[in-house]
Amino acid sequence: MASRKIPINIIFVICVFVVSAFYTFNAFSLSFGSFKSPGPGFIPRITGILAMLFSAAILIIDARKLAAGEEGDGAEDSFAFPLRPILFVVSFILYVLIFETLGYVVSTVIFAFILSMIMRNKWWVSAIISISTGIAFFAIFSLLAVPLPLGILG
Amino acid sequence: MDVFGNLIAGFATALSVNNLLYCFIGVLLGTVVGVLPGLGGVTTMVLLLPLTYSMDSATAIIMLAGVYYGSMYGGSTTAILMNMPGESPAMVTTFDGYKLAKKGRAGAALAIAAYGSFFAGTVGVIGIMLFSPVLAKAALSFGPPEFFSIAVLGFILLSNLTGKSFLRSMLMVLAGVMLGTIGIDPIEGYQRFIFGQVELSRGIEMSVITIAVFGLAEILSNSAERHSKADIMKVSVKEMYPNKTELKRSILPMIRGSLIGFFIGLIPGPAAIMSTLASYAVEKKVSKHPEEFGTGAIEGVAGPESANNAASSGAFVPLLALGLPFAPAAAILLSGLTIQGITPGPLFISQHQGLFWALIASMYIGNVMLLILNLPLVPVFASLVKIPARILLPIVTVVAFCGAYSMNNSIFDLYLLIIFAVIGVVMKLAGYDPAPLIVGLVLGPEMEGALRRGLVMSKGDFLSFFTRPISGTILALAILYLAYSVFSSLRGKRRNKEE
Repeated sequence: MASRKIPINIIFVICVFVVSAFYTFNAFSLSFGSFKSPGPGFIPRITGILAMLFSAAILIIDARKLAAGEEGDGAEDSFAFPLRPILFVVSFILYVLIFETLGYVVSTVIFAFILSMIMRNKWWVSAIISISTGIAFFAIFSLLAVPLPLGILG
Repeated sequence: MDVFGNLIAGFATALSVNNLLYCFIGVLLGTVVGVLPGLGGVTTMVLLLPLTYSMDSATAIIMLAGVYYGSMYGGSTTAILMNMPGESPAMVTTFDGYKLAKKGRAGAALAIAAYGSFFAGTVGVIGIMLFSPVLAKAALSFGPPEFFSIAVLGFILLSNLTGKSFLRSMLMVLAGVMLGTIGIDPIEGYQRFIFGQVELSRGIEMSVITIAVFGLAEILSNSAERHSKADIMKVSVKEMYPNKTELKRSILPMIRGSLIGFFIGLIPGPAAIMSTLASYAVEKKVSKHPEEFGTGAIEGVAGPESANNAASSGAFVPLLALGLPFAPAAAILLSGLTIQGITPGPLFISQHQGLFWALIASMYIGNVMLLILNLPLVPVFASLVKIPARILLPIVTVVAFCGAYSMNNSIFDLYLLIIFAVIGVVMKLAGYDPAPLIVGLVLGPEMEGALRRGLVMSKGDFLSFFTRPISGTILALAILYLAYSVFSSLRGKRRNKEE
């Protein structure tokens, strides 16, 4: 089945290679210094080049295995985009967007409610979970003197 | 007075009602903040510092020290139950602890962690008592080349830790090192890779990445699974505690872990995480069933949990004997002592004999308290795994976000959290392990600083890293271990082909 679709391990290692190349390119704008007095670009250049080499090596090995019809090391042989994790990530982003404006308690209650609904809990179960979670954590963090944004409740 | 007499005098001070009470408060607070990911013992100690102004010096230090080792213990609870390390050293506990919890052995893992911590705490106290002055001198002879070799050894030990391919682990270590170079350069204060983002100049917060790639990524993959009522584990109270086989299998790892942890704790740098990694690697090597590691081996909890606690005791030695804080928590204790008008240093033990021995005695009492406090709580914590995922996941997600936010009160960190959680899921699907990434991120900056200082010191002569006795020995060990790993993995491959 891996023959038609490009497996995720290959996509991942290509991404790592591209990021490493970008990193290395930027590392060359930092001063390397000398061996007697290494500069801020010393370690980044070495690390970036090594990361490019390692990701290229893994890419070649994995691509060969793919061509030979073997599966990659420990990689999942199939991957689909399931709906729930995507909904989770979308609600994560929403939460961060409303976190400071609405304040900790309100945004957290809304966030926990949405997550709970995504997990297919009944609306009143979600209401109990979200309200108690929001208030409980606010209490704990206040006791520990962690400043949380109050937002509209402030 | 001899050691024994001193110790009895110390116990007499520590056992006063007032000191006992503050020791209890410290240990309890430490456990609570240790359980919450993100909120660490160090933060709590800082918050409590102002309270210590009005306290007696012994009481103040006893409470602060209680928070410190209490948090070390608490960090393992969420690691075992939710795959979310409360503090970075507890990361190693997730390897097998979380797998044990999934198998219904959460109680056993929690109890073994408590026993291991207690045992290691005891070993640590004895160690501090007996070796404080002698060992601190050895730690003083550590210079940049030694720190560099330790970081290299850490990288290499890890490459073989979780049994995934060597190349992949090393690539993740390198990715971690790259992440670690973002922000202000440790030597010249030069800003690197910040692309105009002010928040990046602070550097990448290691705890945020740990919560993301372990905790939140696990939540995301769990959310995709179909959860039926049959998934809920039924565990009786009797099964909550470790059985005889599990106890028996944990004894030697606890002893080895405690010794490894104590000696690594004497070394400056990220001793706690190094000690857990080293202990895990050792247990996997000596085990009769190494294939169980990563799938729920009790040794993988017993060893690292003991090492972690022993390392936090070990870190007291250079602090008390030399006045050198080698770990962030030790630095806060140092400020605590300074507030009291006490300067730790070579003269500390002779000038403040009473305080020194009272602290040792209170650490021992604190360990007993931790055990008494935690063992009855094991069934309570362990029954958390019985809560159905559809209820637990939203709550745990909120914990992860609050923990990550509380680190720097930064919204930017929350975006990092989301990005790295997604990366964590992709890594898992692609067959990569997140642990090497964290190790690269933790050890990378240490390695860079040490290498650059070392090269300046030796005027660019890299050979001096090999010719200094301690650094040379550590590097030789690292190279031997690397050669052994490469050799055994090649041999394994050849055997697979022949079959």
